[in-house]
Amino acid sequence: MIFQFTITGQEEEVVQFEKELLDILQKITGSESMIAYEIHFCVHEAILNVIQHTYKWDLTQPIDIRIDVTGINEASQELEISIKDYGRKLEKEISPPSRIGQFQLRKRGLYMISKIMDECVIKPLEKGGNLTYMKKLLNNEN
Amino acid sequence: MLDGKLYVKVSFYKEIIAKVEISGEFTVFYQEFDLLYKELMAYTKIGIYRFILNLNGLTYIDSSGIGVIIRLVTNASKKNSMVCIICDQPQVLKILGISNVDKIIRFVTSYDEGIKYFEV
Repeated sequence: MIFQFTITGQEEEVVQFEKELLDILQKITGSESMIAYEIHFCVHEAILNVIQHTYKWDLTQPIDIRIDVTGINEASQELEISIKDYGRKLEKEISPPSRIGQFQLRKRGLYMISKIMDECVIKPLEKGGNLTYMKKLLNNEN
Repeated sequence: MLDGKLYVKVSFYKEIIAKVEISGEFTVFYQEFDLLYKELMAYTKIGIYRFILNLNGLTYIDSSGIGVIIRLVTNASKKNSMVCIICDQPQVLKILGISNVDKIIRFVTSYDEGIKYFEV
């Protein structure tokens, strides 16, 4: 299954997208599952990251979101989330920090994503813009 | 972000302890966030560092909301104090845990318990 969205940072678009996202995640993971909220949180953080750091609060810029759900076997699925921006290209890849200082504010969002997702990286794209890629293996235990 | 609202109610105990009730969704996406942030920072500038945050009505918090809490905690720690948090929302508690903020705040179950902590 593939789900694709293009939004801007306008409050109403983000709210509408996140409602649909939670609905999709709850269908994939089961409506009672906490993991749907956790993945929803990671996508929200990644979008916030783009708006804050790449687009510098220009809320008119586009963000493409793609969610790929692949069945690995009967008990588990792989969820991949790709968030593409069209802003200034990063000089190099950014990975979440493995540790964070008690009162540190910078990169805390990325750190939090890394505690939930199995993979997370922000890569510059050759033709411009950047891609935030996240992956999570879902199984019955989630 | 699901309902587009952030509400705040502030009151004081003996003019030195701020009781702050934050409900709805605590994220920078809402314009009320900026007002809340400025108001809380204004209190810290006039010397108030004892905060009891009631997050029982909070349905969502992201890293921007966490950032506000960390700023209050940073300020309180300079006075060898802490920020007290009342929270019974599982999703919010989970995010406080994931962010490691749960290690630098004091959980209390009521304003009275928070006031007792500050008055000892």
